[in-house]
Amino acid sequence: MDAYDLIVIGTGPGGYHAAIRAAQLGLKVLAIEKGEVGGVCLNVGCIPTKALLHVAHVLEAGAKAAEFGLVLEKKALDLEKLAGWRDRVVKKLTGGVEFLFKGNGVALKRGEARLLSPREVAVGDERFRARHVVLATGSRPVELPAFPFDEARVVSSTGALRVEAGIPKRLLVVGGGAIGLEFASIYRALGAEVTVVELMDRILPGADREAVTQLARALKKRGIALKTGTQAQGFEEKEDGLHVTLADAEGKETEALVVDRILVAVGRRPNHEGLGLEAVGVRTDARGFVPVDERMRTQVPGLYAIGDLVGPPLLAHKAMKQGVVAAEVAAGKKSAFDQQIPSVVYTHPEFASVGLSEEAAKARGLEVRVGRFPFTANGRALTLQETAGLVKVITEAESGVLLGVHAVGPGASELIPEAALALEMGALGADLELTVHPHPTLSESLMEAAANLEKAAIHILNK
Amino acid sequence: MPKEVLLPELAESIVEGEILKWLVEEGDPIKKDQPIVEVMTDKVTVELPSPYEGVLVKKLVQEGDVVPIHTPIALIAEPGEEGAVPAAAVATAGVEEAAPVAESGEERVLFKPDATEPEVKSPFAVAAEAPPRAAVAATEPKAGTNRFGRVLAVPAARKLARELGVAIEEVPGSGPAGRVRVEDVRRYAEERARTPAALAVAPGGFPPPYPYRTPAGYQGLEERKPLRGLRRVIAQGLWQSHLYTVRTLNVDELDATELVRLREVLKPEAEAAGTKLSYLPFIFKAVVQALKKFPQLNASFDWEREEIVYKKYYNLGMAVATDQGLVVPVVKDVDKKTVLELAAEVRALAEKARAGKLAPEDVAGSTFSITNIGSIGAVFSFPIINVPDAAILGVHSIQDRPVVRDGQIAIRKMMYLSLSFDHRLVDGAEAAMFLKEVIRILEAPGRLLLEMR
Repeated sequence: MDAYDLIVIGTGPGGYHAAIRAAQLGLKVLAIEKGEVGGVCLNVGCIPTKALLHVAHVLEAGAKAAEFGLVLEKKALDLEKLAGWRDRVVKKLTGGVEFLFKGNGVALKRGEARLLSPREVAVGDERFRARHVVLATGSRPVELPAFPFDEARVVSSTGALRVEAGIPKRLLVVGGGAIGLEFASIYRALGAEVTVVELMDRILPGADREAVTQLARALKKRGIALKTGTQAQGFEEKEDGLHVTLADAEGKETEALVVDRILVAVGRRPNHEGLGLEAVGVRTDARGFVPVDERMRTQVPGLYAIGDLVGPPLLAHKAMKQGVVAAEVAAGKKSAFDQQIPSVVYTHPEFASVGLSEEAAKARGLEVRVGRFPFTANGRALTLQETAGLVKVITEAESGVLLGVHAVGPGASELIPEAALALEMGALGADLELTVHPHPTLSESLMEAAANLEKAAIHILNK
Repeated sequence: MPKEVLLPELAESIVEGEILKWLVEEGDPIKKDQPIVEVMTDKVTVELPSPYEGVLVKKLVQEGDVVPIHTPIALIAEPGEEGAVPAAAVATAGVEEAAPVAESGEERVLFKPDATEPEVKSPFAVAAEAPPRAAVAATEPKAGTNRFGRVLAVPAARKLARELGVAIEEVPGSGPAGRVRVEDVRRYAEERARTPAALAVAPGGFPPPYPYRTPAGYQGLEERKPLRGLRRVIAQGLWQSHLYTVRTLNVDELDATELVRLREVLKPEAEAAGTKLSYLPFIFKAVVQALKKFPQLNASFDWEREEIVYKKYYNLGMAVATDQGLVVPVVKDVDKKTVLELAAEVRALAEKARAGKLAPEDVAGSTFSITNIGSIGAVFSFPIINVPDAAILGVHSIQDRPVVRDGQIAIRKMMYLSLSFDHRLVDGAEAAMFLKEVIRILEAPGRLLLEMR
């Protein structure tokens, strides 16, 4: 039986971070993967969707080029070529992970892992021992009983990536969360009529309400129909398409919608079937997630869990950080997962945020001040033909301490890390205002939003 | 691959042990449960049996080391394994082998950060349900929160705080709005190192221990021994008692004439039941009756929580002199035992103590202590409190002394009692009344029959 210092089960973003970091720290590491190296994120998540989003951006930019006198001849998009390019991007990154494994001395075993004890893992007939085991098995889409995935008519996020199957004329997206909205943006840009239904009273429940309102407005302007407080109850296939029954939140039927494809993106559930959690004494919580402490330790000594498996937010960068923490703790370092987690929704325009929403801050009993700056007043945004959205900065009234930043608009995803750093540094709103931002950049909007707290933004009237 | 032997939790609340003596040498074959090392905790020496069969590859700690529980203390190779087998040598096919790792199995195994190993459960762990992880977690600060949802601190300060074992929420921040910066953590840690946390109650702080210098010209006339084992534990305990109690003395005397008579009557009965009857069981019973009336003397401070703990159980420590030094085994639940049972238990514990065979649980959990000075002889002494108890009763020899009874000088069997108590927990009047109550019962020991539950 082969013996290691650390075994990582799953090589998604959390898993490969744990494996590489542990190897850097001198541990002998085995990574076990039953599917493709890189997990959901690299293969059927973050990366391929971003590839398609880029195409959506190019298409939209092309359409808008007429405004400045560039008329592009519209040609049909070669979906096979698009799929090929998408796969090459994915391949490059997954190959990169395998290269990093080799270079760092991480052994890779393909197959499905099963825990025999907290220190022993079986893959088929083979057994491996390790002093530490990191569970990084991720999550998969939740299936609705009325909409079982066939990945043709009813697709999950994985099936939705297969643009080579053709762009449906009419698409229904069930679920107004990050994944649903991203695909709504992609398919809208690729020419589909898109309807999003969300059971809650708004899309992106839990995010800052004002920012979400801005996003909803921008998405509607792009022709995406958003039906909140609405649920899809079932569908029937007829000659002219899939007839979907919609109902209000109480379940009262409202209308029938005819579409050609249905994407169900109502959440994800953790993967641990067949992993043997019960056998080693790990109990999951009511939603199936594995409880861990801030050092990513489960209740069982020597056994760690990270990423989607341990619960929300189900974000790759959270998993990555947790993977690093688990590896460092296993190596005896005093590491802990105690950071703020920014989140981004890669719609068009983008939505990004870090820290507390205005509602959450108030719910905490804090007296807040809010500074805003719209992209319509940002020079760079104008030149990019992307002026929808705003940056919103929230501080505590008395101390001026930064509590949260929310952005909707061009480049929001690249603007929010600065806000994350500011939050980690315990910055005041004034720190953002007093930091010189280069002109002309989209990032000036963050500085200006902070200045607006003091009625000192230059490019708006600070009313 | 060699397995580690971890220092087990020898008993509840014990956090470290001193390695007294290795009973096996490196290279020796070892049977499962064979004693391999002597460890001392809380004045008690235990022999640690091997959890595995195999060969002792390496001792990881030396005699005299004081090591926290869950620390690896030895490596044992499985039978036939004979030491360090590089893990790479047993690599099986089917694995996409990565770049070679130049590491021997033994070296890797030395590396043991997450100090818990379920297979090496303590063979002694009596009250072992305390999960090892809880012990770890308690010493590690959790990232705190404040009204903003978390402490305002820069990431580098958080990291440094974790490394230094500082709770970030305790560090006063010097940045805007109290933001904790790296220098704040460093300064806080340095200040804390200068003033141990426990001394926080003493505003001025204690001076450091005095230095010892051999007087000039007497260098050859001294013998030095390392401060080890029981003597070190005794020294630590007494030092703590001396520094952290406000020790006050109350002396009284007892007319034991009736008690002596009663014992003479009961002695043959006890002997028939197989037990030698001393005065101690009677004193135990009287003390418990008095403690029930004056619960302050059956209390302790919990400084971590700033609370006074009043105990509803009565475990009496009894000081026993041994060749090795003083130990205080504890008779548990004295209120629930008969005089006869107590007599047997007192004898058994004293014998165990003299033979050096006390188990950790035998010396833990006292709520009040009694020291018998009488057997050796001093007129009276000022006992030192067995912390965390609130008080200790010194019992002296019974001697014929002239006393005045009804205007006449009478010769009675008299005994001095010295009650040493922590004045912070117990007021002087309470101490005096407590002692009077003990005397009242013992002067007419029949009262035990009337009042004892």
